[in-house]
Amino acid sequence: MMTLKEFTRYASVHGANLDRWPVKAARAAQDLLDHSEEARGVLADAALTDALLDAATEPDLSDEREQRVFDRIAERLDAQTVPDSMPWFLARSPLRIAPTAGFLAMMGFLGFITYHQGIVTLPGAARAHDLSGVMIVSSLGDMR
Amino acid sequence: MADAAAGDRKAFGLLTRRHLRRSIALAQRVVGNASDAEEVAQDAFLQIWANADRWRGDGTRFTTWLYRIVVNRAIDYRRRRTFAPLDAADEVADPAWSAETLVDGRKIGAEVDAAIAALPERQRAALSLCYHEEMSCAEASEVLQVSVSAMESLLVRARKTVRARLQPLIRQKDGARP
Repeated sequence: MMTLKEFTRYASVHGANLDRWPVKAARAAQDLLDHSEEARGVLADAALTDALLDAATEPDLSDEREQRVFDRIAERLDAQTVPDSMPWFLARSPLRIAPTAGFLAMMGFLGFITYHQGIVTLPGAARAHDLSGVMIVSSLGDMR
Repeated sequence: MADAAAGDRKAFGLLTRRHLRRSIALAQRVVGNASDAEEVAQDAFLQIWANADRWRGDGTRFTTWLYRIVVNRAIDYRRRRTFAPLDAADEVADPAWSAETLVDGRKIGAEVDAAIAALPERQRAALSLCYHEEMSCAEASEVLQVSVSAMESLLVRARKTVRARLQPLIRQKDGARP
């Protein structure tokens, strides 16, 4: 059985319309209303607050207004969207981390091999100290 | 929503059509004026589009997510409005009306609007969601990201405050004098 205190609490949260109350509470409230004059008074008071809230001005929700807002959303989306066909010079940069890192690693390796095998000689390299031994040791890692 | 998340503009258009009207209404009730409400609804849908891939349908209803964005955006607009010049502020109804003018329903409406507009923003949002949008307390609490009991407290305080502010109106209407 619902107490008057509980009933008052539900009425002050949900108002007088029992359809808005949790189903179980609404059933218990109906039982209380059948027997309690005070509960009926509380409900009438809540109904008055509901009536006041109902008197609030309804926002204008005309088709024109809805269409106007819809069109503005579409306009702003169009302004943000990248077109399907774009001239090459406006294309997004193809720079992506994994392919770029792979490409740079490959180029570095090729450069190292071509230099190391003597395919390419750099000007002034002959005057420099011979570092091939260091290179070999370095490339052999823990075998030194 | 899944199609919209995949970048389908047509699907997003349908989604917008379905929910735009109620979003404008909710925004207007929270923000308090028509032009800001349109801006709020517009921004909310653009935000939905930009973050559509972040929405997961795992138990969260799309409307909960949408209304959360609308309410937060509206509160943000409202806060910025607070610092607007006084002449740009909403017109507040004159509380000292004669019994004759009270017969005019529009004036009563304006008085009620003013009472609701004077509520703290979360109370106003709670009232809009539960009373005007007819959401359950549980649904509305998800929108406002509060517990159900906190949501109930917001509603109780909102109804009590509106009622207290409009008490003179009730007395005059009933012809009763204190």
